[in-house]
Amino acid sequence: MSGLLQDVRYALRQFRMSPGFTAVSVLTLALGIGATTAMFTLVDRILFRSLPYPQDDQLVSVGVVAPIIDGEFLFAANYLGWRDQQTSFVGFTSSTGVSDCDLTDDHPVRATCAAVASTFLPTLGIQPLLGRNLTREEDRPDAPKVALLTYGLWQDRFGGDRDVVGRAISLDGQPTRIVGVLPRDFEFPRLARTSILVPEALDESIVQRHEMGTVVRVFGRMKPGASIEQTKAELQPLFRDFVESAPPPFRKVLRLQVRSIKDLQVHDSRRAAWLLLASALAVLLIACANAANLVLARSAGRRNELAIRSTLGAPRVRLFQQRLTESVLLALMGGACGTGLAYVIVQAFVALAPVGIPRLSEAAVDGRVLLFAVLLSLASGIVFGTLPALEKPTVQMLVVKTMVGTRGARLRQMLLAAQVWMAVVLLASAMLFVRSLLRLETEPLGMNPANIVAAQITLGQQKYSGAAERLRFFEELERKLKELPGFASVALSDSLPPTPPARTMPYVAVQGEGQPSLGPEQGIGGVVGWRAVTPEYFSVLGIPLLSGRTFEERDRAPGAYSIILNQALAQQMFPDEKALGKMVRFHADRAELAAPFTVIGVTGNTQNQGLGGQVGREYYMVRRHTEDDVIFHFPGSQRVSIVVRSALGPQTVALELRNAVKTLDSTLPVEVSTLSESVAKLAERPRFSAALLSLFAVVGVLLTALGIYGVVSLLVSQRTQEIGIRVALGATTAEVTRMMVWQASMWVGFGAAAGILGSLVAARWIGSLLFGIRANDPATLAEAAALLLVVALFGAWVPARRAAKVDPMVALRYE
Amino acid sequence: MTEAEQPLIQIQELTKVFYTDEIETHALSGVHLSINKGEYVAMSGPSGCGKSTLLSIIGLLDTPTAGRYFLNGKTVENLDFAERSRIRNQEIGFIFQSFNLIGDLTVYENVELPLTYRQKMPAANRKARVMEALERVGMAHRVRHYPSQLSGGQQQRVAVARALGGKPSILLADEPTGNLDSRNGEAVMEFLQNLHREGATICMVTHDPRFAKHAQREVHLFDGKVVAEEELKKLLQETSA
Repeated sequence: MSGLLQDVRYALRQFRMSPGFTAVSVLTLALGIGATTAMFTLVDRILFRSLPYPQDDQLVSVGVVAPIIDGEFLFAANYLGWRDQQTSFVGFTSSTGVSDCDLTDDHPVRATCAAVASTFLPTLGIQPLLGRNLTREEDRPDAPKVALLTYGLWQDRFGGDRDVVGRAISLDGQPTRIVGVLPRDFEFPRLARTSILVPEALDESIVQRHEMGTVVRVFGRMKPGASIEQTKAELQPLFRDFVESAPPPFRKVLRLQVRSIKDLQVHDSRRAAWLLLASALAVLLIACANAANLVLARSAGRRNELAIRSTLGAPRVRLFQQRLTESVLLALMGGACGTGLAYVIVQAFVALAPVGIPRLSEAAVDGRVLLFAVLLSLASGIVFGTLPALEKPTVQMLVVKTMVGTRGARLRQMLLAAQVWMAVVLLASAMLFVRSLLRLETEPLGMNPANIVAAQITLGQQKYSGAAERLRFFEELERKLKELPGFASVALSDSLPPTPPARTMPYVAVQGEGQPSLGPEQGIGGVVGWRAVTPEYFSVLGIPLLSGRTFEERDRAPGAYSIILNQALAQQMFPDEKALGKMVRFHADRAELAAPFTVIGVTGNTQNQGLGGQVGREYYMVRRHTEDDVIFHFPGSQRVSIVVRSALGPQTVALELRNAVKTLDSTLPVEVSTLSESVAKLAERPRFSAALLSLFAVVGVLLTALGIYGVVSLLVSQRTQEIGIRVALGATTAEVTRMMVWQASMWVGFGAAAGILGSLVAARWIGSLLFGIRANDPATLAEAAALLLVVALFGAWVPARRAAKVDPMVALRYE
Repeated sequence: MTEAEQPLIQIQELTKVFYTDEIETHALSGVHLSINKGEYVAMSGPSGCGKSTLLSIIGLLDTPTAGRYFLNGKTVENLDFAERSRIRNQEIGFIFQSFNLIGDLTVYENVELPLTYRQKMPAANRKARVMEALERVGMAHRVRHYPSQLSGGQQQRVAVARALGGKPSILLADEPTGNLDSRNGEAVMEFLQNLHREGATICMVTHDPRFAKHAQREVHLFDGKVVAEEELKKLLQETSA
């Protein structure tokens, strides 16, 4: 122990006496450890940290996957059946989802209500902070209304009053009694923002009436020790019943899904999170290689000391311990600075990151992250310190003067090649992401989002409970907006591209006149999206009309049945003839879709699956002046998007828009932005990933260049005598420079070649995160390697050039 | 032969060959040497004769290519690194031409250094040994100084103290006056003689005949072989002719 303390004391003194070496090493390591710690902080919640539920690994999301609905689901009738028959879970529960709701007391406020079964909290293992859970009696359609408040709402709206339990509130106009408050760390399994839990109150009589009921999301707690695979196997009989009860076209496309809640929450972020963490680790490894090179370089100067210690009888293990102690201490100092850097990076990332990255807002440098930073620093110290510490002392040099100048050079060159290798992989990945982003951002949208202001409104459930109230509001709003000066081009739609349509229909249910129906072997033929729009929708968004006409006022009259197809749908539905004037029938068990619709126009395709998605088939229906309109027969008809193309500035349009809504209903919140902003927002996540990767790549390349500079500088200083002899014998400056650069370039070239191979391996991993470019794009890989070669050779050229100017007289006196 | 009569160092048929780029350099060829306990031996010879190589092997800094080496009656030519380190630490004290003090350590720490590698030596004993050695060389008042703050002569005295601190069986000195002016050189020689008078065994490499005369016995090397003084003179004359 005293030996270790002595080593620590000596190491600290060494650092004080070599401030330059210490500062460069600590800064290099701080960059690597800081970047990795910051990335760990950001992805810890996605990848590693457990969820705020006891035994969270037992919790799963259960359901059937079908193309018409996003994610796994069950219909209420299936859920009720599975709940009673399943034997795989110790807890089985459901939620009909999260929707807007209004607290309609003295100061009305918009909230989000999650409708859940009374078994929801017990299944998740959550105890209310105050009050109690929902009871089975309260979870019935005719039961008195009750609610649990989330901690945030309890604090904000009720000032954390502990007597809130039992108090009556007005929720969507209904008297509702508060029965409890949820704990502070409560989160909805699907991560939807939630402020109130209410009973989902499923009508269990639908089972007797052989109705499917609403869509529910189902969660289960598996038996202790049970695996997802076992549970899935046990659910097969119930799934088979589900398939048999489904319409024949659907049977082939249905799939049972059981996945952990964590997987449900982070499935599309996991790969990107791993990629970013791996990139940060690559930066750390480059930093470690640099630090190892610095320590090796310093070892050359300390070889005498090492030999003296060894001569005086220091055992190898003691020398190893002493040198490793120095490296670990350096790494800990780097780790301390790196943690500070990580704190800054995390703050910046959380502020700049796009919405929708799961749990990012919770990221903070806490005790767990600090422990990670300490362990990472220790590991880094061991990684970069081991090789130099293993160097064998040359005790003979104290007595027999021999040339040991370039000893260890091979090791340093190998480290250099490893740095170049990692830097090329990093750089190639970053370049691929940047190119992918550029293609994503310049992808044709099929419309012109410039100068368009878009607003979203969601009507409250209480005030606008029926189709009549909703229709009245939307008609009045449309009329009012059109009357505003400068608002000539106004349209309403239930959703806007490039986000996917809010509603879909199985292709099998949409049949073109004279076209054969799909056979049972063809399944449902995928899904077709549709939007309900007002006539100006196409002109406001600049969607080109390819044939026919767009909607007119006459199409909005009750009894008019007009439909517009996008080009993709028209081509598939009527492959050999013109769609215009053809009839389209819907094979849906819905009265409002019973009449045939006439195709009055075909428009160009718009990007309608998000940025980078394949253009989907789509049709448009006009929003008619009747409460029997199709839109009011589908869920979510209280939501509307308004688009305005105006010569007025966006701020003026937004103000006028808000005022217009306010005159109709002062309590309605309105979200306004330009359509260009909304489109740009869709690219925020890839932009964020590309920015982070680019940052890591730049740091990696700079560290590599510094590493090369350091190694070549050292080689130059070790070979000063040799260079002096060469110059004395007539070598020119250019020849000496060329010789030094050439020797460095061999290792750099080797590293770059390995980097290209590494990038090809990485390509398989990042391919799914790219758009419009192959992950093994040869041009990008070659450019990344070439760019790195140029930077690396510049790093070698600077000290080589200096070497070539060596005064031979000085150099020959060197020894 | 009793233990007292047994040579401290006995070398038989010692050969050292260096191999570089297919060239063999015979640094030592069939060297025989005995050094008794309490003896003061000087090894001399022209540059490149192999005296430093021989000192390296005697000091267990290097291993012979062939031959036998007995230290205190035990064969040591084929020991592993750890065992050689242990013997160097406990049996041998080194004094180098260029002092080889560690610049980042104080005078006290430099002298203490070999003792810190001895397991189980209490700190109090270490301190006592260090101070005793420094007092012997008259450097006890400079314990907090760094080598760079000392003159060459003072540095060599510290190096001697470091060699003495471990109470070694033999002191090996490699051109101990090589980096000193004549006054400091003479002082070091005088000091070594005093140590010898007190019973220390010393083996010193020097190319300077003036300093070699301070030793009890002189061993001459030429082209890797031990030669008699007369023979050496003859060989040197032949070479210069």
